[in-house]
Amino acid sequence: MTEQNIVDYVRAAAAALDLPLDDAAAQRVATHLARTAAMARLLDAAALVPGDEPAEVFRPAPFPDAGADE
Amino acid sequence: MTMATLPLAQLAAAIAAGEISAREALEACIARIEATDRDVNAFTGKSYARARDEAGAIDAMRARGETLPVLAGVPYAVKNLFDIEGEVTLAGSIVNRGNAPAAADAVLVQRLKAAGAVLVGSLNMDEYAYGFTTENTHYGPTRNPHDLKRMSGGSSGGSGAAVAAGQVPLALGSDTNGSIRVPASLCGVWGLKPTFGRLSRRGSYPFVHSIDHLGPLADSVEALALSYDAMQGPDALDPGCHALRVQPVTGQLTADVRGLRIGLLGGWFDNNATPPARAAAASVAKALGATGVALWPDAEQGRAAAFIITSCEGGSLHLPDLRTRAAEFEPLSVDRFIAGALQPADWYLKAQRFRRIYRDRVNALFEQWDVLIAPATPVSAPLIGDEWLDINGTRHPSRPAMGLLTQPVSCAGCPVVAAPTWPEGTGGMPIGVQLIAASWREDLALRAAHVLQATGVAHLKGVTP
Repeated sequence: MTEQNIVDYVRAAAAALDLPLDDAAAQRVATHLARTAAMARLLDAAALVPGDEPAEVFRPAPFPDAGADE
Repeated sequence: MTMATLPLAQLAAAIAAGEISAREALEACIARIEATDRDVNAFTGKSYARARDEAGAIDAMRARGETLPVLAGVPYAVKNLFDIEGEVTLAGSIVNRGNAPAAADAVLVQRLKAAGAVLVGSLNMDEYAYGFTTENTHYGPTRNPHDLKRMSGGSSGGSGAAVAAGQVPLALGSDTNGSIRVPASLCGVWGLKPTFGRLSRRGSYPFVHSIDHLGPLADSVEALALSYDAMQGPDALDPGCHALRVQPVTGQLTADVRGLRIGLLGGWFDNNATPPARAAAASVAKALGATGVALWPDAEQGRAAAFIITSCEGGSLHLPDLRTRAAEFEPLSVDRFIAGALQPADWYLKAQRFRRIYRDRVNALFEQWDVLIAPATPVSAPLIGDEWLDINGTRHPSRPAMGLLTQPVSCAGCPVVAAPTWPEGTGGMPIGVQLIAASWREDLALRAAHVLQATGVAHLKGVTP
C-alpha cells in the first residue's frame, strides 16, 4: 500500500463512518495507520488455519455445574 | 522516615496496634500530598472529606474494640478511570466532564474500602489510557519525582508518581499494554499486573475490553500482596473476569525461590533493551539464580497483535465522540484513536485469531519455566516532551516504544511484577524489571519479588520534598 493509497483509504473509510476529517488530519491519521499496517503485515506471516478461532471472551451463559445435569 | 512515608505494612501494623490513629495517618498523608503535588502533579482529584469519614470510621471501630480489617487506615489513591461514588470519572479527558457522577464505587474500590483502606483522591493519566507518558495536555504532565524534568511513564503515571513521591503507599492503575509496568519502571516503585481476568474491572472506564487489566502500584512487595489479596474475588458481571475463587498470596511471600526454574528472556527482550536495562535484568537474574536464557515465542507478532487490537477497540469505543468532539481530545492521541477506528476488519480478526495460538505457545513455554525475567522498559525515564528514543542505534518514536517490552507479555495475559532497580548509566534514575509467571501464578512472581526486596536488589528510593 503506497502512502497515497493509505491517505485515500483514510478519507474513504472516514466518510463511510461519517467521521469528519480535514486534509491535514487525514495525513496525520494516515501516518498512524501506516504504522499499524506494518504491524498487520507481521501477522500475515502467522500460519493461521481456518480452525484458528479468535481469542474467546463471549459466553452465552455460564456453563452449568455438574449438579445441573441430574 | 516520617509517618507519611512508613511502608504500607508497617503503617498498617502501627494503626492496628493503636500506635497511630487512622486519622493521624491520613492527615500526615494529606500534608505530604499538599507539600509535593504542586511539583509532581499526580493528583487530579482530592477526596479528603470522604477520606476523613473513612479514617474516622476505622478509629471508631478500634474504639469499640472491634478487630480491624487488614488495610485499616492505609491511605491510597486511584487512577482517574476508577469510579468514585459521586464524582465524574474523567479517564484523563475533558470530554467526560459532562458525564453524570458515578453512582457507586468501582468494584476494586469497594473491596479496598471493605479492607479498611482510605481513599484520598484520583490520579492523572494519559487520556483514555492511550499512552505511556502521562503528558496529559488537559491536566498537565505528571512529573517524575526523581527528576521533575522527566516523564513519569503511563498511562498510570499519576499512580507511579504518587507512590514514588511518598504521597501514598498504594495506588491503583490499569494496564492494557504496560500502563502499570511502565510507570512503575520509570518511577521506581513496585507494580503488579495480575493475570488477565483475575481482578474485576467493573466500574472502571474501559480502554480495550479484550486486554484491560487492573492492579496495584505500591511501596513494597507486602503492599502489593496485601492489596491484591483484598481485591481478589469472582465477578460474574464482568465478562472479562475469569477468576472463580480467591487464591491468596500474602502468606506465601517468604517461600523463597529455591526449586523454581528461573530464566532470563533473550531475543526480543534483549534486542530492544539499552545497556542499563539489560544490566538491570541481569542483576535480577543473578540474584534469583537464573539458570538459562529463554526465548519468548513470537514476541514481535504478539506485540503487533496487541497494537492492532488496542487501536481498533479503542478507536471504535470513542467513535461517537470522535465524530463530533475530536477537537476536545488529547492532541497527542486523537489521530491514533481515529486511525484505529478506520482499521480494516481483517487486521483485527487476524490479530484476535493469532492471539489464541500465541497464548497457547506462551503457556507451553511456562511448562519449562516458573519465572522469566525481562526489563520493563527499554530505557529509564526520558525528558518530558522527548519525541524519539535511541535503542541500540535505532530511532524509535518514544511514546509507542515505551511498550516494546511489556506489550508481548500482556497480550498473553501472564501476571507480572515490576521490580524497581537502579542500574548504573541512567543518571540515578530507575528501570523496572519484569518478573513474569504463567497465568494464575502471581504467587511465583511475588515470591521472586520478595527475594529481590529482601536482598536489596530492588527497592524504592526516597525523594526530598
